[in-house]
Amino acid sequence: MTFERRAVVWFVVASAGLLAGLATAQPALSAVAAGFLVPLLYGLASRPPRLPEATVRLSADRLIEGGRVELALTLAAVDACPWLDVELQLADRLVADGAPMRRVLALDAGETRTLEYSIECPRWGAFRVASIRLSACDRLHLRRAELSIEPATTLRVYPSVDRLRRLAGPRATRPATGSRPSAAAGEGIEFAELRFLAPGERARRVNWRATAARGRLLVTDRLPERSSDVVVFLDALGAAATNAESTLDRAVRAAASLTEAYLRRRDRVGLLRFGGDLEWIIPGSGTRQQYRIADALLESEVARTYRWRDTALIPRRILPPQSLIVALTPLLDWRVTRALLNLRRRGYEVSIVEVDPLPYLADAEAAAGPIAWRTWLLERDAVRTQLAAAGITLVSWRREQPIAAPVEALAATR
Amino acid sequence: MSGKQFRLAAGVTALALVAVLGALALVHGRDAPDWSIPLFAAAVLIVCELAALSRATKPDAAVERPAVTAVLLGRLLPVALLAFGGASVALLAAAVPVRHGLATGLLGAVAAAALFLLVAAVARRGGEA
Repeated sequence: MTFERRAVVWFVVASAGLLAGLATAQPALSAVAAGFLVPLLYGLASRPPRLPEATVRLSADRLIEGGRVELALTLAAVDACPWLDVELQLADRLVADGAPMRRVLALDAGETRTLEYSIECPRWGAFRVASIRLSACDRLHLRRAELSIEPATTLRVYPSVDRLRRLAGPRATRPATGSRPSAAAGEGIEFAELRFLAPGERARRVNWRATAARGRLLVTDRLPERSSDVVVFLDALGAAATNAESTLDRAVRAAASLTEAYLRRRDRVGLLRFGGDLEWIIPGSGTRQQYRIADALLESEVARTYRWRDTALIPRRILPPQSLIVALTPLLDWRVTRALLNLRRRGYEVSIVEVDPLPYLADAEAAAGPIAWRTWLLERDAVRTQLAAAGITLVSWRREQPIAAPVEALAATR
Repeated sequence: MSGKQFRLAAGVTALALVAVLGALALVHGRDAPDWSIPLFAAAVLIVCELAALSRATKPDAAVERPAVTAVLLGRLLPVALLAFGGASVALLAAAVPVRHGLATGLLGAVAAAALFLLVAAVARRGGEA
């Protein structure tokens, strides 16, 4: 509890007035001073302000970006609260809808009041929804009690997922059932080829229609459905951003879409986040893995660091042999380029979806000047050439395109 | 009522009151009667309170009607009445013919303590109510 500055001012004015009245023998000055003194005494002797008990309830703690969550703040006043200032401070990425963020209420003793706020979540992230600041004054507003409430619940806003029909797959599959036709023939559904019967083969594999046409025993070879390993590489070292959006926002949405699509095809998917700290999720499959990766993606923030990053730090089991690495990067940091080249040299298949940073750098072009800008563009072209020469497939993802466009372009190159 | 409107209303009222007080001071000057001093003290306190209200309320806040009523009846009115009462008592005390001395001083101190206790008791009762 703190005293308002007015209390001090009143005390000083009253003291000065009384002293001046005594010194100058002017009763009027003492009378005016008494006019300040008596309310001050009354205010200080009255009951101190007591904040109501506050409870915060969220309608949901997990939702998809673009969704809405209702926050209910219940205030139960034990004592009368003639002036209660309630301020809701939302996290940066949340937008309140309708109700004012700051309200001044009056609560009677024993009164319970519920304030409702509708909060829109336009961008993914994991955050404390809001901090609520309560400030109550006593009857004459000479003392103030304040309290800040942080709801314990963490709101998780998952990135929206685009449906992807065609995906780039690794050339090699792993010996586990999936939806991807294996390169080697075996027991499966997908037709591979017709060949002559070899001694010792089972008679049920004979294709009698083809045999009748050719006059020799032919068998049908099929491709077994296998799964493969895919690692999504998310570059969080650098991002180009405007006030509304950044390349990282789009990269995270793309990572969520890719994860969902690959997992739907029963592939094993892992995550490697190349940012301030190197973080990873071991490849796995199933819905649980999807949520694990989605939760990890929510923690993605641009981490500007000057520490050395090396792919030698990545444990081997994070990147299974012959897995496909799909990198989502704006190619703004040379350390990312170097890491991807290293991975390629270690024998992994690497595909890059370049999140086009140019629409976010309109101001940079004007600031740097045309020559510097063109030089930088040429350097980017040189990086792309270097990546292509190393056998890395690279497609550019423009701002206006859906994620399906570069992913299908990647699939078409394989 | 929005905080901006509340601030505006409080500020305008304070300015209007200052203007009225200023006009009265110009008209009467040094000839102001003694009985107007408590009223003057109450008016000054109200001006101070209105100025504080107009500054303390945030423009983006939504001030609900019960809070406005509570401010008018629970803050401005008691302050004005207490200021009026305090100034009146002080004037009356000054008007009492006394002889200066130790007994008078002690009597004054006892009267001040009694006044404080009275105010405190009234405040406690008001808070409980």
